[in-house]
Amino acid sequence: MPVSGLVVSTKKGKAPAVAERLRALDRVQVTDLLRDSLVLVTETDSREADKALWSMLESVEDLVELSLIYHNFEDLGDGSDPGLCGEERA
Amino acid sequence: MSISRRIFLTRAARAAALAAVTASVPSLASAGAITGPSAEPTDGLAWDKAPCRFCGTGCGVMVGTKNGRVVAIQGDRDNPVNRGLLCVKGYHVGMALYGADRLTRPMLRKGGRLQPTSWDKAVDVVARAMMTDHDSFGIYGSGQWTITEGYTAMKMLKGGMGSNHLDPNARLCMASAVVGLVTSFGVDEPAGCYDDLDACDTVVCWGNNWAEMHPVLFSRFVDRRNKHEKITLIDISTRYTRSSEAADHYLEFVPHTDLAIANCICGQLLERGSWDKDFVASKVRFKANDGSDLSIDQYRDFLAAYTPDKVSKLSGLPVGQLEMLADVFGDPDRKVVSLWCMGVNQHTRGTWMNNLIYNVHLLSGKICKPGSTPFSLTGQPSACGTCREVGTLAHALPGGRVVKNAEHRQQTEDMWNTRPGAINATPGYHAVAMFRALASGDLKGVWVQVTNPAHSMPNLNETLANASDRFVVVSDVYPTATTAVADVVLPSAMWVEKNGVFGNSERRTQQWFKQVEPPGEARDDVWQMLAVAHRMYELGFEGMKARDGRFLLAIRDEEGREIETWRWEVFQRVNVDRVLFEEYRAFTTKKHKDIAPYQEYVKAHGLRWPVVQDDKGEWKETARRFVENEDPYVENGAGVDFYMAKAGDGKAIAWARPYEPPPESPDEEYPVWLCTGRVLEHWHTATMTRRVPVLNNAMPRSYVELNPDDATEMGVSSGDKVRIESRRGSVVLPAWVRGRSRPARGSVFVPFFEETRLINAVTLDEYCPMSKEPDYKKCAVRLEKVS
Repeated sequence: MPVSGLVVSTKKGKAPAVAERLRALDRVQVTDLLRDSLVLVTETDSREADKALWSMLESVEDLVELSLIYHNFEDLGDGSDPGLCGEERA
Repeated sequence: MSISRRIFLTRAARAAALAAVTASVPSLASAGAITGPSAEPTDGLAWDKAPCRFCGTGCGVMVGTKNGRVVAIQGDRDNPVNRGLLCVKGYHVGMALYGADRLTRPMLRKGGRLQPTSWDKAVDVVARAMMTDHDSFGIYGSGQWTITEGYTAMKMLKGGMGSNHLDPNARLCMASAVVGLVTSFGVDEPAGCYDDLDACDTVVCWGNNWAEMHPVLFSRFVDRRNKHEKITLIDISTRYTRSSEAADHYLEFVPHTDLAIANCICGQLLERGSWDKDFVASKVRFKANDGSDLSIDQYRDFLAAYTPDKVSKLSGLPVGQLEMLADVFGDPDRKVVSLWCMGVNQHTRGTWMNNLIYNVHLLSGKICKPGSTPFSLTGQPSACGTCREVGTLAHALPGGRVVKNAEHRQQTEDMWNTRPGAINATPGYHAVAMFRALASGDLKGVWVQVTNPAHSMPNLNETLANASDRFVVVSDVYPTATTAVADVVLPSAMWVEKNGVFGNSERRTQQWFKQVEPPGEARDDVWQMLAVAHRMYELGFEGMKARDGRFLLAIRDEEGREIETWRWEVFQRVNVDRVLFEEYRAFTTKKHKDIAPYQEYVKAHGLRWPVVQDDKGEWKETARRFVENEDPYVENGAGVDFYMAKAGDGKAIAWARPYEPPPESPDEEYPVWLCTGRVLEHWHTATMTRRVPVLNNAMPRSYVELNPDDATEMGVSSGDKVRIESRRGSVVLPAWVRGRSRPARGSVFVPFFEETRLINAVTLDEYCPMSKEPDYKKCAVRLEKVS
C-alpha cells in the first residue's frame, strides 16, 4: 500500500494547469500549489499500481520533472501492520 | 491499512515533499504546516518562537496560542536550522501537552499506592529524605532538561549536598561523542555546523538513519538533490533503512567492525599517498592507545593490520567498497561531511569509534572547511546545551570544569559562594552505575527529572532490582514506568508552559518564553528544586547555606535583595530563567564556549557559540570553530588552530585505536544480533508521543523486524508472534517483515518505545569503558516463533 510524496516541476506559469490535469487522476491529491511546482500525495494498492501511476504522471502535459520525495513502502496491506495484529496493549 | 495510519502517512508524505520544495523557496515554507494553522496576524492567535522539544536538531517552531492553550504549530521561517520546515513529530509537538492523563497534583506513596498530597508536604518529604542521605542521594536528569534546570540541579547537588551523583540520560546517547571530542581535540562539541550540509558534495552516514531520526536535516540533502546539485550519499549501516534507500552507496557491515573499516580507510590514505600531508604535518599528532606518542611511520605500522582484504573478511564489505571509501576521502577536491549518532555512540568502543572518524577527517584534511567536517548528531534537544555545556555529568562542573581538579572546584565554589570544600572531589555514579548502586543500596535515593529510566535503561531486570526499596522521586508530565516505582511524584510544567533555553547539535543556544500555564498544580522543575533546597535550608541543612549564611540558591534583584522564588506565587512573577542563565554564563568563557547575554537570545532565533562581542559591540556567533575569520579565538594567520589541544600545540590527536571484538556476539545458543532504536513517530519512550493520537495510531505498538530471508527460513510472517530472548531476559513481539527497513541477515531490529513490551529487559548493559555509554545496538539473542 505505497504512499508517496512527490514534487512536480512545471513549465513556467503552468502550475495551475498541471494541477488541474493531475486532480483529474484517481489516487492523486494535489496538496500544495506553489510557483512552478506542486506537491502531490499518491496512494495506491500495490507497488505495481504505484509504478503505473508514476508513468502516467510523467506523461502529463507541461510537467517538467517528477521527483519522489517520500515513499512509504511498508508491507501493510495484508493486515501485517503491527497495529492490526489483534493484540491489545496490556 | 488502518485509516489513522493512512492519514498519518499521507501527512508524512506531504510534509516530506513540501519540505523539499519549500526549502528552495523559503518564502513559501509556511505552507508546510500540516495541522493547518495560519501565521497571519489576522488569525486571532498569539504566536511566539520556541525550539522543538523533541530531537537534537533544534528546529524552530512557531507556537500559536489562544485562550491559554497551544492550538497551532508551524515551522519557524526565521530559524536557520529548519527554515520553516518541521518533521511529523515537530508538527505535533503542541499536542503532546494535552494528553488526558497529565500529572496535575503531587503524589505520595502511602500503603503501596500513590495518593494526592499538597506541594508543601511533598517538598518537605523530599527535602528530609535528601538531607538524611545527602551524600548517597542522586539526581538523574536529562538531555531534555533546559539549561537552567540542569544548572540548578548541579548547584543544588554538587554545591549544596556534597554529592556528585548527578548524571543525565544523555549518558545513554552522546557520552561517547563527548569523550571522543575531548580526547581528539581537547574540548567537546563539533567544530562544524549544519551549513556544511549545504556546502558538501558527499555525505557519509556511519550507522545513522537521518531520514527518519533527523528528517529536517535530511531534507537539506533531498532539496539539493532535487535541484540536481551533485551530492552523493554513502550509507554505512547494519540495516537497510529509508536513508539507505536514498543513498548512492549502501555498505552493509558486520556489527562492531566499523572500527576496522575506519582504520582501513586511514591505512589506504597513507598507502596511496592521498592523505593531506601539509595539514597533518602542521595540525595533527599521533598517539598510541596507551597515550604514548607515535610517529607517522609507527602509525602506518599500526594500520598495516587493516588492509582491504583483511577488513573485508572481518566486516563483510567487499574490497571494492572499502576502496571506494578511501577514494572519497582521498580525493582532495571532494568536500565530505560524516554524520553519526547512536550507531557509533551506543557502542562498547564508542569513544574509539568517534576518534577513528576524526582520524579519517584529520588525515584527509576534510575538517574545518566549508562542506568538510565530521559531525556527531545528538538525539535530545539540549543534550549539548545542558548536559555537555552546563556539565550535568557525574565528573563535571559548569563550563568544562571537572570535580577532580582542585582549581576548578575552587573556582566553582567561589562563583557559587559555597563554603570552601563544599564540592566533593570524587566523581559520582554515571548513569548505569547509578542504577546499579541503587539496586545494591549504595545509593539510598534518586530524584528523576524529565526522563524515564525504568523503561530506557539497559538490562532492566537487574537495573530495576530493589527499586521499590529505595526512595525514588520523579518529576514528570505523564505517568511512566518510572512514576510507577516512585515514592513521590511531582507534576511538572512542560515546554512552553515554562521559560527555557536549549542548546542543539550545532552549538546553537535557543531561548523561549512561557506561553501557556501548566495544568492543575504542575510546576516548573526549577521551582521544584528551589523549593526543596530552600526547605532543606529552613531545616538547618548546612550545605544549603552560602558563605554569608544566606540561602545558597537565592535569586536576588538588582539591588541584591533576596527574591522568595521558592514560593510559587513569587516564582511565577519573576523570570528566574534569565537570572540563572546570566549566572551560568559566567562559567562559559573558560573553554571558549562563550554565550551572549540572555536578551540576545530573546531577539535571535538561536546563536552558535562562541558568541563574542565585536568591535562595534555586536554579539557575533561562530559558524565553524577553530577556523580563522570565523572563530574569534583563532588568531590571524593561523588558518586552522585546535587551540584547546591539551599539549598546547594547536594540534588534534589521531589515535591508534584497534578493532576489538564486541563483548557479546551471536553464538550457537544465541545466534542472532539484536539492534534497538527509535522510530519516526515516537520520541524515546513515547510518554509524550503516545498521547498524540495521530502519532500513536500510526505506530501503536512495538515489533520485531526480521530480514525477509531469515523470516522465510523460520516460517515467520508479518504479525506472527516471536519471542526474542537473550541471556538477560525475553519479550514477545509481533513480527514485521518487509517493513520500513531491512535488517541484515542474522539480525533483528526492535524499537524501544513501548512500555508494555520492554526490549530493554533483553539488552546488554555493557558500556564503553571511557564514556560509560551502554551499547543498545548489539547483543546476542535467539528467536522463537510463538504459536
